[in-house]
Amino acid sequence: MIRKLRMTDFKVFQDQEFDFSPGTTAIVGPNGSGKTTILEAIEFALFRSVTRKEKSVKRLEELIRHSRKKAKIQLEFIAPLNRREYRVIRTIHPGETNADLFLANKHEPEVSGPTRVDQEIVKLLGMTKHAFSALTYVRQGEIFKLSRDTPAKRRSGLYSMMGLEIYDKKKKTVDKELKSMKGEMESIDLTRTRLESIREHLPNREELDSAISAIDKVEREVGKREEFEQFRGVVEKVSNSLSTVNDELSSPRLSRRPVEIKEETEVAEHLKALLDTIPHVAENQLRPYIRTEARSIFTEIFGDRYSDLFIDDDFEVCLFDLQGNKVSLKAASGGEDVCVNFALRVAVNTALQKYSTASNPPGLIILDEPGSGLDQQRRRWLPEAIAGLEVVEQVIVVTHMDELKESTKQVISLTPQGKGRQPLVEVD
Amino acid sequence: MVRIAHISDSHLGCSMFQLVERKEDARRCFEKAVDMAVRKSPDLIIHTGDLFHDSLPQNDDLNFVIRLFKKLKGKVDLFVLQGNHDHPYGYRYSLSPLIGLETMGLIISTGEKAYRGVKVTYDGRPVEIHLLSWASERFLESVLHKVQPKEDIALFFAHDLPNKDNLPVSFDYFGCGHKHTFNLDEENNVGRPGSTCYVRWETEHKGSKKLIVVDVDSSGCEYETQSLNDVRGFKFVPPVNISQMGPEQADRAIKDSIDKLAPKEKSIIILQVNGIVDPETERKMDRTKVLQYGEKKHNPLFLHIAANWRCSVPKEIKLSQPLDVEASVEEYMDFTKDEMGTRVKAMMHKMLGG
Repeated sequence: MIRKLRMTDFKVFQDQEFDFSPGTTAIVGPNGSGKTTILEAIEFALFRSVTRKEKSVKRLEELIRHSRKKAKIQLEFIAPLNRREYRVIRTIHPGETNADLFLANKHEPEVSGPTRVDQEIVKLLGMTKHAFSALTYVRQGEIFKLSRDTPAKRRSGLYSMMGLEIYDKKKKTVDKELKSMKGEMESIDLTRTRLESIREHLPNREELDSAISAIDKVEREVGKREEFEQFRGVVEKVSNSLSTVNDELSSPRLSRRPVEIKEETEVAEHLKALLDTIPHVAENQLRPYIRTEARSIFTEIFGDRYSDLFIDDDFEVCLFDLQGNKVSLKAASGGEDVCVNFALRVAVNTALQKYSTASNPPGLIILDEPGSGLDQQRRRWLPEAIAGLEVVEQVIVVTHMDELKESTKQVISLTPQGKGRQPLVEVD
Repeated sequence: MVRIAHISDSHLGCSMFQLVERKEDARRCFEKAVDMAVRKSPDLIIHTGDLFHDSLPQNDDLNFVIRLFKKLKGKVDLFVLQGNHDHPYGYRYSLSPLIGLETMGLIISTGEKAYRGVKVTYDGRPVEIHLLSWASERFLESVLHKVQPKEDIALFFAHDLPNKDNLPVSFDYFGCGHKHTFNLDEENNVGRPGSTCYVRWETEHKGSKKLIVVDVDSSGCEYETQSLNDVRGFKFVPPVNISQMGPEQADRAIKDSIDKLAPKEKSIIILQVNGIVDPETERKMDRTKVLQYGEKKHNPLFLHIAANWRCSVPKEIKLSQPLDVEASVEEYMDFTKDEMGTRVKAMMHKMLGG
């Protein structure tokens, strides 16, 4: 859970502090007013990286305010691990970053240095950046993916929302490994066949030995001649070549490595198969929970019309009305549709928080533009749905919709001031 | 002495399960509450907000209120607060239907603002009445601490008083609504009557609803309460547990519980079903048949079976951290007693890119 964020010379913010309280907070402002910057600052403070459009920003010094030399982020948060309050301070300089982690009321850092702070924060959160973002972050436009897509797409969409696409990513890493091993094996094979074909064309050791003894014999009969030395030189050369070829062929690279590669390939193939299976297991394990969570969010708002929300094995979402009849989502009204989608999407997060970590859940959900892709009519339902989100300790909604202001406890409004100046911040 | 009759949260226009009958019920419940209040011959009736369920009430509800309040005019002072349902999102008080009622002179409310303080003479003595419609918690706090009563008798009414523990002692009685169940703290003089009808059964079925009559004197308050029952019969059945049952068994258990009921004609019956079942059972339960069975048996206005059961996870494998690839692979291999387990474990970290 996040308590306080202070940004100094970070992107558009010259020096700005935000307090976050439990309950819902809306960050409202028009495009380009710095809403996303706040999220980026939180991400950076925790994980020393900033993700934009699902890719990490490579050059972190881009985040320093123009014409300044360094940026500083200070974040106070409550660690899920031990419920203690920590403060992390990170600075960005061109080409490097620095970090210190403090207990909130102490002046001496607990841990210093970027890598060590990274590790300590992962430990305190009980999860990596990947898991944290899957658990807490609802990306723009994701909410309405669920009912619009075809079942196959919906499945993959849901996988990605659940953070299970990491298995695919890891599978690709293993694939790369396999490919490089295959390449190595091919080059080894090639070398070996080449060497073997050379060896075939060379006389063998006995032939060479007998050639030498033949020269010796002739020399003994006819006496020393220079030509014999020439013969010997040629035979020696051939003999050396043969040794080199033989040495090469029996070198570790050509003899032992292929066995290793074969073994590693076997393991990698097996691992790949496991990486294929486990997401299904995980998904099967989590789906009932997602459904239970979604049901409680949905019936909170539409309990006077529906008794249940159901996701079947084909990822078809359907509702049960109060008469016990199944109603397909296609037949539901606009508001219900919004609510089902919203409930499902958020349920993915709340279920993950409850059932996918070994440690305490972070108790935080960030909704990025939950209203995008919605027409006016459907948007009307969103404030109600968000206000009903009392299951989560802290909800941060980033939006340009003024309507959402009323559904949250705390509102941070950002008004751009133009010319790269810090936006005007109002807290209500 | 001043006698106050305190009611709240009539939610006219609400209709549980979208039943049209409930709209009529809400009106009758409200009328019943007002009649009950009037019979106590109070000096004033206070309604602490959420008169309407929606900030755009339907004409039949609005007309009903106008007619009802007209009858009270001249007999008793009527104060009504704007609840969160009485105006649109965002504290837009000027868009509330209560403004019209005020203009007609039927009620005293807070107008286009959140707060209004008035002084009225009852029984020859001035009484300060502070009215606070639905407002932010911060605004509530500021009003509570800014207002300093000067008269002997001072009353404070707000739609919601979330922090009952730190109310200033300078008021004789605090009245609030918002929550739909009765609560009276005679020590601190804080009263909440609850709603006049059932609005949301989930949160209300465990509580009660009452009319609160307070006699305020310079020496303190005296209380009298009277139960306000919904005009409709409500039957909240003890939850049925269907854990580990098969589909037929579960259907039977629900039917058995229905059999045991003896509800009034045209009641609303609410039956909660709890427990943990497997997905197979859930799929095969025949909800429609069970509901039809219950309806045929008791002829209720509405039978609601609340699906509170949970679905169990297939037991075979349980990943403790499904988003942690390496941990999950290990768990999975341990579970399946994978022959290549040790070899995969040794090399996995490197292969997955560290």
